[in-house]
Amino acid sequence: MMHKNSGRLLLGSLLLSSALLVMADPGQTTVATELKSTPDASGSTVSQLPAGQAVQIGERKGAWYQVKTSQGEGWVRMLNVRLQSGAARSGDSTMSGLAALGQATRSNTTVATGVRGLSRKNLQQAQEDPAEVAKLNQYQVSADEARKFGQAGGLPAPRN
Amino acid sequence: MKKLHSTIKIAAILSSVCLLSCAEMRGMNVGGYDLTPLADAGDKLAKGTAETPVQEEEVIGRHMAGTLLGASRLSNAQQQQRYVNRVGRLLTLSSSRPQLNWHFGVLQDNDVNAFAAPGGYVFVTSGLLNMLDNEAQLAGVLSHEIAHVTHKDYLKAVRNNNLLGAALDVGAFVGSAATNGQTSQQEREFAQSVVNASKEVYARGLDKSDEYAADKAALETMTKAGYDPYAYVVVMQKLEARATKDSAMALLLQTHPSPTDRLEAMGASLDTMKVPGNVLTLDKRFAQSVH
Repeated sequence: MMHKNSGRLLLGSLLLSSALLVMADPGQTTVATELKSTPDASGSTVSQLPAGQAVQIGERKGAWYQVKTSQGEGWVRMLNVRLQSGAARSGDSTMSGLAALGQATRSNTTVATGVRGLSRKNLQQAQEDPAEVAKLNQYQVSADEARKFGQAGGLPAPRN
Repeated sequence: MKKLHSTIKIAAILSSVCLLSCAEMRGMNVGGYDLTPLADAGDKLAKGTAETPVQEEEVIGRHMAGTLLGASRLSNAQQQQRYVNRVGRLLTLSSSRPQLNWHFGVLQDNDVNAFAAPGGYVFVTSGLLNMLDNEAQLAGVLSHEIAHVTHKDYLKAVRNNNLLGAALDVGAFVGSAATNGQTSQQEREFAQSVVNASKEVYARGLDKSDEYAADKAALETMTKAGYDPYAYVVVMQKLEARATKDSAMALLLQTHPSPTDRLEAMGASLDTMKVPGNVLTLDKRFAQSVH
């Protein structure tokens, strides 16, 4: 019984810590910027962050990132922050960005027409593939279907 | 067939002459062909600003998309293809050209990139799609490509490449005169000139000013459609963070301004925009459809 509970506890804390890891992406400020108490320019200022200040980025609200820094916690303008190189932000509250952390490998697949892949060289040697273009039709969506899709997601009726 | 070739030659020679004096060719008749359309074509060439009819734009776009798909391939992930088409088509309804025959496609490639072709073709690689977290981020990427279509950036680029513009207009002239089997030969020659131009344009990329304009339009279109425009800023920050030493980013970086410069321009655009408080990111729907 005890054993089972502690197992659950361990699993729970593992899940929690991985969630925390995902929620805290490393970054740094690109210019001197104010650390605000709320995601709002009119919020009170917690401290003045210098350019190059290391931050741990949490959630985003509009134009603001929630951050933890050595100067305190609060909100900074997202456009004054750069994500740390090599650590693609997995933010906006899903874990899907983890997929991006894996190093990408090129997908050059040899087929009848030669090597495929979207490098400059491959594009210069490309041969037209009309059959592949025809395949696009099966996925095409009508304006009506798109409108319903937007409505289902809670988006406003399109206007242009 | 020989007659056709000589017709093309005559047309080509006349059209170059016509650059100097098109007006004089109007109403002229050579070997049974009325030269007025050729005079018009020459006028277009000389000005370099002619509007391409939508039908012609679609044909060019189909060959251009075919060239891109010749270098890559469509993903077999049908649910993703359908989802990207839904989001994309929805965005086009907030664009300036909602009536085009829009097609969207996911390319099976770990490279991080997105492309468009005239007439309403938009592509995103699986490598880029897998980096995204929500529907609003995807909307940003697709809106950028939709803007290249509505701004006719790729159309202008292929027309400016290797006198394709001349091939187009001469093609229209010969096409109107040719009969039976001759048309397909003429079409093949035309298609090949589009494919040749497309290869160069995709490898070289568009003008940097086109990219900045597409970013600005993307922010506006996605906001109009109800998506959070700052999600597109997140995409650009992800690209910025990945920019160094990543071979999957090579072509994108070769053909676009740096993500850092684009972020600065996007910041300036957002400063002048009114963003409603109720814009959405739609994380759950994206996760269910893509991952």
